[in-house]
Amino acid sequence: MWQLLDKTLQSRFILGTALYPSLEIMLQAIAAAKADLITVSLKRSMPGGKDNRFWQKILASGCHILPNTAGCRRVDEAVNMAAMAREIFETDWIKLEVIGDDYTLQPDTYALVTAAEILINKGFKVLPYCTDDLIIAQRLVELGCKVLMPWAAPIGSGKGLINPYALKLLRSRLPQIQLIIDAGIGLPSEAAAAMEMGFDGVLLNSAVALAGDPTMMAEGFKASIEAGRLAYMAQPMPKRDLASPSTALIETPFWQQQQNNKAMI
Amino acid sequence: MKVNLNDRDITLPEQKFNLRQFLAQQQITGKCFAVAVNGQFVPRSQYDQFDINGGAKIDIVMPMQGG
Repeated sequence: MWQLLDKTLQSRFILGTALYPSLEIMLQAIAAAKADLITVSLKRSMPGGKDNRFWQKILASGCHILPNTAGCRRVDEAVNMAAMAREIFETDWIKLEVIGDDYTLQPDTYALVTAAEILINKGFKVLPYCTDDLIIAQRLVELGCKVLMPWAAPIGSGKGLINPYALKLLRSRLPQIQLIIDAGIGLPSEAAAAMEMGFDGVLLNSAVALAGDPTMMAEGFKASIEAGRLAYMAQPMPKRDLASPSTALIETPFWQQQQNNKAMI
Repeated sequence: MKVNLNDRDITLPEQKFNLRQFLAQQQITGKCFAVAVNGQFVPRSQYDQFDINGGAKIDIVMPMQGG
């Protein structure tokens, strides 16, 4: 069980709904992931067309919805899109994205902070997609963000945790804030690594949707996120530079003889 | 009068329209959409009071896949 803001979730695996070969495969992946929070977006479209089918399938999944402001590059765009999302999805949760670069899809951190402040004042629960910059993270927390979603690597890159030092720093300096790795994860081992660091959850999309078998990959991520969380909670052993035998050497067979041989050298 | 609906120019009869009337005229019904006019979100509760003027840029948005 995971208490995230005002919702109790069964899973720390948040799954995106984009890029799947079909809606049916998307639903199979969501089921295999046992994700109960999924991300959606908005686009210009007319009611009554095929886009209705996506929405009907999402409603039928029973998952909680986390709308995003994907595609927004300005504060006013993100604020308006968040307002439209709140009306359609009937949630005040918003994954806030304000993009500053078309190639890296890196957040525009100045616009992100400004938009977060406006939306928090309008009563939104803002989950900002941010970089691993500690100072920006602290600014967002000061504004009232209880959850941060730092990237592991650029969206859709599958590069994994490209700056684990910065992510560990965020974890250690913001112990009271829910941290969810968002973007750039490619393999279950990378998701596990993030959870082992103490991150509270993982959000990913491409790593599952673009896999050869999205359903199987979703299952793999589910296992790895659970394993990483268990490892973190179980307090892993410290790393050592030198060996420390797990089998006691005293009174092992030939032990005395080895000591005598060393004395003769 | 001409307005732009989802990046497509359309011509409306020369009469006063509020947003609700415009949506009905375009046969846009249901609940799973939201509207922005000239880049500003218009809440559903304000459709009756919001007048559509010539040259308005109207965006109808719906849920879509997203990550």
